[in-house]
Amino acid sequence: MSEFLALSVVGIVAGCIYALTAMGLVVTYTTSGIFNFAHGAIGMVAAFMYWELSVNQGLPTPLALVLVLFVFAPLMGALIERVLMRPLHGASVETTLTVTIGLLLLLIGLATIIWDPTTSRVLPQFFAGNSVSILGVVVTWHQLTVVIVAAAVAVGMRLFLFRTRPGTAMRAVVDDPELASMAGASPARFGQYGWAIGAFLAALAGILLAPLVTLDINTLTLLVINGYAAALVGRLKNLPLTFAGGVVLGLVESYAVGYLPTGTLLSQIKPVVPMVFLFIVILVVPQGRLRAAGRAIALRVPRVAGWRESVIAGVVFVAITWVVSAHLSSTNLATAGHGMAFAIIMLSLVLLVGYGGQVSLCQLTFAGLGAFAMGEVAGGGSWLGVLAGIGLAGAVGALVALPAIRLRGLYLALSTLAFAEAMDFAFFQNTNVFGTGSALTVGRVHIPGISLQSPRAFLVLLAVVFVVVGIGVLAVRRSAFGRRLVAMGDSPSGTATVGINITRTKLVVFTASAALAGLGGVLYGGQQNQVGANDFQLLYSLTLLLLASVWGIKTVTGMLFAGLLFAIFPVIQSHVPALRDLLYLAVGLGAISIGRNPNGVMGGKTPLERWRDRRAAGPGQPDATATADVVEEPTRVAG
Amino acid sequence: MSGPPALELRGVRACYGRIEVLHGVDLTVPVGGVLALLGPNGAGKTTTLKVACGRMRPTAGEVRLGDAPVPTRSPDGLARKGVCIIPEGRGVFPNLSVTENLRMWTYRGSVARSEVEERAFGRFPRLRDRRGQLAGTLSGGEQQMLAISRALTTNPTFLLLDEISMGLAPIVVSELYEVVAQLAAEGIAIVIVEQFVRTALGVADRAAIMAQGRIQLEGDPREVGDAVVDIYLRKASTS
Amino acid sequence: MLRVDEVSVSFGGVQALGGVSLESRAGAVTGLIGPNGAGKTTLFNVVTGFQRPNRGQVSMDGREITALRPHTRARLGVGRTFQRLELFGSLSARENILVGIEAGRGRPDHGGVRRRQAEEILERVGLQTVAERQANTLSTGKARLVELGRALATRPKLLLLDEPSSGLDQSETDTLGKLLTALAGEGIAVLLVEHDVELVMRVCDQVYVLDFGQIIAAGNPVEVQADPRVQLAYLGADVGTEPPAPDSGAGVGG
Repeated sequence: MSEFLALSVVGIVAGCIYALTAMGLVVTYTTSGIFNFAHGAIGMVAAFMYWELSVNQGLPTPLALVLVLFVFAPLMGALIERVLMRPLHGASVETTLTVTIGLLLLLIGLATIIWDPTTSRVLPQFFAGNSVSILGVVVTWHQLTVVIVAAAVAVGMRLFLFRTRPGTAMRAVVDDPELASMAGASPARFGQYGWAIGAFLAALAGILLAPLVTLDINTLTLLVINGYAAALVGRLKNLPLTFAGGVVLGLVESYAVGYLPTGTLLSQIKPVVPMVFLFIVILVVPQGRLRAAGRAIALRVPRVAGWRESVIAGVVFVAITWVVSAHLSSTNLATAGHGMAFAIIMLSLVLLVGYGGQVSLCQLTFAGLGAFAMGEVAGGGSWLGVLAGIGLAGAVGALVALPAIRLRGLYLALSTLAFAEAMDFAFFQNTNVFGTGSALTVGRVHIPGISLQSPRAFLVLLAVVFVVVGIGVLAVRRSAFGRRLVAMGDSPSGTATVGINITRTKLVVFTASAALAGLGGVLYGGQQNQVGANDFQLLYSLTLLLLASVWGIKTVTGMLFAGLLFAIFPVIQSHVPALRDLLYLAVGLGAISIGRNPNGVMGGKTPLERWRDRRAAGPGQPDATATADVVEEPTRVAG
Repeated sequence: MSGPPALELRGVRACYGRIEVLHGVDLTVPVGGVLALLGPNGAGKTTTLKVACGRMRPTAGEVRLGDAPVPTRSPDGLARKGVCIIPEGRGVFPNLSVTENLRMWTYRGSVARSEVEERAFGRFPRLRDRRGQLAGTLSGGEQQMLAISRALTTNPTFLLLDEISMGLAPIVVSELYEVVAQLAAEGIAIVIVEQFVRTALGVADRAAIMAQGRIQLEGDPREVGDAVVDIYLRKASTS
Repeated sequence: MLRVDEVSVSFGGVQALGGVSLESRAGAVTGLIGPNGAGKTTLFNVVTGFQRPNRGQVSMDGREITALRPHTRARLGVGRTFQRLELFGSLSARENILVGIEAGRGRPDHGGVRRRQAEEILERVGLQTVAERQANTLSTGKARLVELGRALATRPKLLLLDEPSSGLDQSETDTLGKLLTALAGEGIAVLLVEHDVELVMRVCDQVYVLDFGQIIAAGNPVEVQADPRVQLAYLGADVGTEPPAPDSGAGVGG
């Protein structure tokens, strides 16, 4: 009984923090229509800021609290809204997702630069050392504080929204922005208030959470992801349900840790619980009417290269790789190989996200499965291993896709995120998979008559595979199936009315994309000769997706640049320590720019294409891409 | 009355993308006048209304509200100028209660809360019984009454009504139009966009028929009324 | 071809369709008219499988299809266009039509048969000149024609058109009218929701009038036009001509 009570206390405390986080998410989402993936990062930065002021600078606790909670955090939220989010008004889910994930990486990058992660910092608990005994269970004052603060915030939010004029106006804005603005309540202003309140709640959660876990950048950023599940319980709009969802999640997690047998696999269950919870909630809770409209399509999509063109380009590329690689140092060969392997993994994103419009945040997980199979099967260097890698990744991809198949946009992205996090903790970090702190050796495939052991040979192989797969991806796009994919991304209803089974199409593309990522993983393992527990983290998956978006997720060439850049960054950093964590900063900034240019760098028009357009349009004809002088959208495609 | 008209559109053209939907519209609503803007679907009525209230910028021509050009994209500014727009099908906040809806109308105004409720409930006693109910759970007719209450409580000088009778039973429609007639009698300038021709003509003192992006006919409601039946039920165009 | 039997649909407490029955015969254009918000699009959604009815049945060729999913119905020969366009905006007009042709056919494409079919359809709906243009850069009228072409590409037996003429200019509308008559002549059952009454009168063999989710009149175009209930539904009542009833109850829809 006392064990049950003790577990309940731990669960409720964690649940209250999840609830605070989730309420912040809900407030920003309802007022601005944007699901803020960077919510946790905001909380993390606030917690560090609080440490800076109270511990490092020695300010009195109440002063530091007031400064962070009531000045720093709300200002930060308001600023983010004004600079990054307001221009996104009416943007697609993919775009808002990319921009907020970009913000997440940007904040991580900034925090790493300001607060060196190699130094350990401790944030003391509130009223440290004090505790009370409730029904025989010792409850620290900090725990009590968490519960009281959470309850107070919940009640306060309720009163604010239902008993005050600005609160009512805020609900009015959520209901009907235009009508509200006729009444004199500006939606933009309330959107800003929403972000300020959201940032305040994120900061509160971060400051209460940090003393209970550790003051660590990644931990704080990602722990808050647990709050997503609670927010979804409230269907991203209902605050009381959201609060309840948070508490239930905390309790489930706590009981799972306490009561599940401490077997080898189950002992590491704790971090997985919220993700499983999130996954279940997404599947069970009916998808409320999300505010996002259909897929806003860039006015012009990049041209698809023809057969001849892509084959010629491919041959030239392989030849160049062959020649150039003869003059590269072994370090540079490794970097190039690394990048090429990532580029192959990213081609799976072109298929799934670029063409099919289905966002996945777990492509590296599939790559990891590919590498794992390659290393484990038949001595780690056989063709059987390659097949096993592709097969395992594809099969798991299908398994993930099956329940997630009816999801769209944000919900699909969140379910893949839950999967990636769960796999990271339960599989890759599991000591039974890669062994404690060690790595799994992955061999290179044997091709009779050709030795692939030299870095140069393997690089050329990677180039060949990239070209073959790239040409394949382009061929898919030109095929009937490719048209079907794009059609599904553009308008699911339209696709169904011509007799296409959307469920099957989604399943096929998800499986194919996972299998392709698996192949990339097989080659990545071969390139590195080994893979470790930390190679396939969620953050890398996010970075990969963002880089792909920045370079143009509908283009094959874009993936090459994105992959190489991903590999080059760590090298630059090792040479120029001042640029440490440049990667996150740069990727974050790049992703944020997606708000302006959804096609990415390689998705734009070449000068030749622009010239052709002008000629085709002829004199006197307005340019088709010129934005018309209307306040409203011309044709809304996909509802 | 002398002075500038409440609303004036001169040679207004407007496009969605590259397709022009208004090909030179001229309309004048005098202060205190009631204009019924009629015509089949797709004729450009709603677009005209959007241009008139600055939600859409014309590609040519001029829109003047009173003595100044209409402010673009500023529903807030319009409201301050005394313009009240009841948009088609959504004139209420569905997740706010009836009282909260009424209070929102005077979010910026100086009208006291009690007075707002008195005016609205005085006119529509049925709303008083449902004061605590969420507006989204009201019947279509009650929602429209609540929407019209905005015109009753904010003392507008100019009122734009977009298809307020859509989907409503005739009996409810006539109840709503009684209020419109009362507002007209108080000297508020009104533009009524309506597909139920006869209903609108009953309160208007001037009528215009639109078809294919142009004003096809403008004049006395009675004359226009005869022509309109043709346009609706027989021919698509008189031109 | 199509039979709708006593179909009712409610959203929350509001009834959008209350026991609607109608038929659309092969080789005929059937019109469905009524004021905005009468439930026409809801009825289309019921027929094409996007909306489950609370009550009632839908059958095609004597086979009940009420429970089938949209793509299955499409394969049985139900084609449709949307009032709010559902184009494949990032594909070209030609590709939009190709998707329709390719859907649900496993057979390989011999000698560019599909391309030729696509060209025929492009010509038929008058889109040859813009075949290469990305669909979401087209004007609303042209975009509607792309949707029509896409629906034709699936070789439907029953074609539901939701306001195909809105956004079309007069000459495009005339062409559309001729096309609809021609399609019916080929044995297709065409069900047409349209606000352009003149077009309806010109091409329809049978017209149903929907108001408040119920069929208030049906018959040939001339009869329907003369029906006073139709005039009332379309033009509304004169203000003050009817005494306010004590139960001036709830309006339907919203």
